[in-house]
Amino acid sequence: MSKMARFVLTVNGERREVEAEPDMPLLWVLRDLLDLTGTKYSCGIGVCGMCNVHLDGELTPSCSVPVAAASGREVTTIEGISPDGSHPVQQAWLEERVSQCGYCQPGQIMAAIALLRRNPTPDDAAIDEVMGGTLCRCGSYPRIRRAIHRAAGKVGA
Amino acid sequence: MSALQNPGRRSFMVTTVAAGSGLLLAFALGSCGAVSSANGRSGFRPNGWLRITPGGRIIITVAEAEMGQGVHTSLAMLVAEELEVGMEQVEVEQASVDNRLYGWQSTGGSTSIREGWEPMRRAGATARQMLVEAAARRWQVPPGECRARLGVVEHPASGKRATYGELASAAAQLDPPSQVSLKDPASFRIIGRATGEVEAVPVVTGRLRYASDLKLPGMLTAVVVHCPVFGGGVRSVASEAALRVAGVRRVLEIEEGVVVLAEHFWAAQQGARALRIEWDYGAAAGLDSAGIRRLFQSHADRFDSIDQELARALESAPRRLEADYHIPFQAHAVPESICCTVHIHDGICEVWVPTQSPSDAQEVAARLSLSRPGYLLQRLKGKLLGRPFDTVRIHTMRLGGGFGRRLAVDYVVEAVKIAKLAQAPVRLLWPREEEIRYGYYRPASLHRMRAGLDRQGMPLAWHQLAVGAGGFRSPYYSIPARGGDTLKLESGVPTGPWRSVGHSYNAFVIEGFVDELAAAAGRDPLDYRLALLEDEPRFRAVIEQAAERAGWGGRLPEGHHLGLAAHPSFGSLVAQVVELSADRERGIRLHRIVCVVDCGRVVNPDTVKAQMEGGIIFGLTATLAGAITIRNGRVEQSNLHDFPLLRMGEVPPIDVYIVPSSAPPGGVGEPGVPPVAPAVVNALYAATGKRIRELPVKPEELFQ
Repeated sequence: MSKMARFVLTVNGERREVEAEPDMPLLWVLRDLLDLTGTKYSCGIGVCGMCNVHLDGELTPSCSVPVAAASGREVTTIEGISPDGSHPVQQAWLEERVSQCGYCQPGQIMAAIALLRRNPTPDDAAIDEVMGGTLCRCGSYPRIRRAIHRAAGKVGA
Repeated sequence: MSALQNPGRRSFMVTTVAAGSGLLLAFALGSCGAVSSANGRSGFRPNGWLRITPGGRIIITVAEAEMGQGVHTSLAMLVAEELEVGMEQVEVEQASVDNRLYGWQSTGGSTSIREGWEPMRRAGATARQMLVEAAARRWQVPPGECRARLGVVEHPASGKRATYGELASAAAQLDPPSQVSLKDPASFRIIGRATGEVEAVPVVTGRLRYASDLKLPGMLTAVVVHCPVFGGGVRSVASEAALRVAGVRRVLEIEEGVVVLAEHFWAAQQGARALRIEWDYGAAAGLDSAGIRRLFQSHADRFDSIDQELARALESAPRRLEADYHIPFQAHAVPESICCTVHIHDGICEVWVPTQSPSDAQEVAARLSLSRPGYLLQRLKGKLLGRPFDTVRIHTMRLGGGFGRRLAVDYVVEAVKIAKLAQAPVRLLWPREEEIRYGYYRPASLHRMRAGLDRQGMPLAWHQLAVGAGGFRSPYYSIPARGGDTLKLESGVPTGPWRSVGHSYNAFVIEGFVDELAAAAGRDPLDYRLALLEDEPRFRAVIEQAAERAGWGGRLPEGHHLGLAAHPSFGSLVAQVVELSADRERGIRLHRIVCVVDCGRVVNPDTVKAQMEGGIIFGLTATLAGAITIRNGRVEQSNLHDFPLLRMGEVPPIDVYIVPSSAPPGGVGEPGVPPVAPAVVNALYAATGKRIRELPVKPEELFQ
């Protein structure tokens, strides 16, 4: 039954080759084949956003993208944002002391960066529209909103 | 290592010394501290350590698990304050599970700061005093002429200075002081100031490894398929299709269900989907939510053993009120799904697990990984030497959400069983569907509320009959005759602690019903409550401030309404006011939530605010978003699409105010949850005149 095939992706600027079933979700390719575990699993059905990555710059839940569909494309994960937390969105997250358990925060940060690239100074409605896709069980939403306002205008397109 | 007791006092501290290795202090949180004997066997059970290395590292080891409540940061703040070091100078380390070193480990009940407030500061102060003493001896000056600041001891008169690292080994040769003086709160530099989390950078860079992120050489990933009906079991399994899935290695059966072992999670999950399992559904196959409700109701109807005096007070009151409140099951939906990694090697069972109960985890891992005689021998040895189970190593990992779910250790049981059978390192990771369907839920319950009022509408008698849940709670309002009864019933659905435990439903029924009494009396709900709290000035102040901040009694925007609720729990007092509008056209819209908390002395005000915000959103989700329902013995929900959590745009602005207080610290992880549900339904009553006595709120019923 195996339909194993070789796929080439660009992950955080590096060319990566993986052998996988074509329908293996990008999430598990990242986590279990490439050991990039900053991208988190939570629902697996594309409703929680904790597995958010950028696929050719577009915000995408990686659990809902088969590796075959990501082949030849640019994938950016939380590990590709900055190694030390120096990205303006990460800085805003630290300054607003956003995270509690922290598990959803990589997905939140990926969503916020995608939002700010498209809309550098979003109002609350624009924030709700994009950030509504990523859940936080600890309830850090008020701080996420403040962190996005703080990072407004600091993220290049 | 040798242990010396702190002489001359009923101490909670010993020093342990290894020559030239710096200073190591042990201390105990909670009430278990007692004088240590020299061999460390009896009495003294430290659960925290402070280590200062000759190289100047300051390492605080804590047994409390971090799950977003900020406990590692807050406990470190207490030590750093008295030690006279900056927060950037300290490292926090998670304790290993060793009962000899750390005592019984469990994190729940919002207890960490309440128990750590004094011992953690005392530990810092003791170390500081010993370092100053060591410096004074070295320089042959009186200790009183030296001062400690930011990790350095100075003697201003001579200009001499030495770092803590340089002094640590000499300090370790000294007896701990019999008396330490703690700082005057007025001179606190760290306690009471908003402080960022010590592990924040690894979180925002994705570098922090949760248990489910660990990868061991040769590790297999396990997915367990549990019987969809509670209490059922496997009759037969056809695993051929599962075994044909690329990456699947084995299919196993354990008591809890069918296990697929694979090279990675995706293969294991695909394999699990391909299993053909015939289940023996067992006795619970007919269970459903409506039946559970009827069961509760029939028991409530038959109940007739209310205290006679209270019954007389209720019956003789000029006016009587009675109402049934219904509470549904709730799941935890921990963001990091249930997981545990186990590697059994070289006679050691090593466990990496996000758990609120590391000691329970160790106990079950020992029971399952050892032979029966081996287990009993180790347990005996442990009882005699205070050091059980040295063949089990528990690595308590940061929790991707706890909320009470991770007080249970069912997943440790499964992971150890699987690792034994697999003879390989195993990462157990439940698909979200298993986490939702196979939990320990906040119990469903029925609460029959009764009150008797005088002619002015003030309560003379109050009774709560709690059916199905953990227990009733007597109201904190001054009512001449008040009490309750509890009928504990097994519904057949597994239940367990859920953030704020019994307070989550008791606050709902008490604060909902007291609002009903106020309405029956024709009085303002705020005034009515205050009239019943004349002997509780601290609680009154919290409620009054919440009302004032929310603009109670003032002019609100067109169509906006307020609802109030207040509830003391875990040593803290919280009042919340919800501002909302509700109409048929646009449904329920939340505009703002005001929260006032008096949690006594505050360690990290930012954590207090974060926990209030988080608690409110957690409670709001259970009020408005959904619930767990049972049909044919199964949980009807399966994932976050049908057990939804509130999203960012559904949460209104939340304003948290902290009452300055010098009272002993209260808990903050849980007390923010209870008031929000009753505050919402009380506001909905103000908006629509309709009283909601059942959660979650169903807007379609509100506007019928």
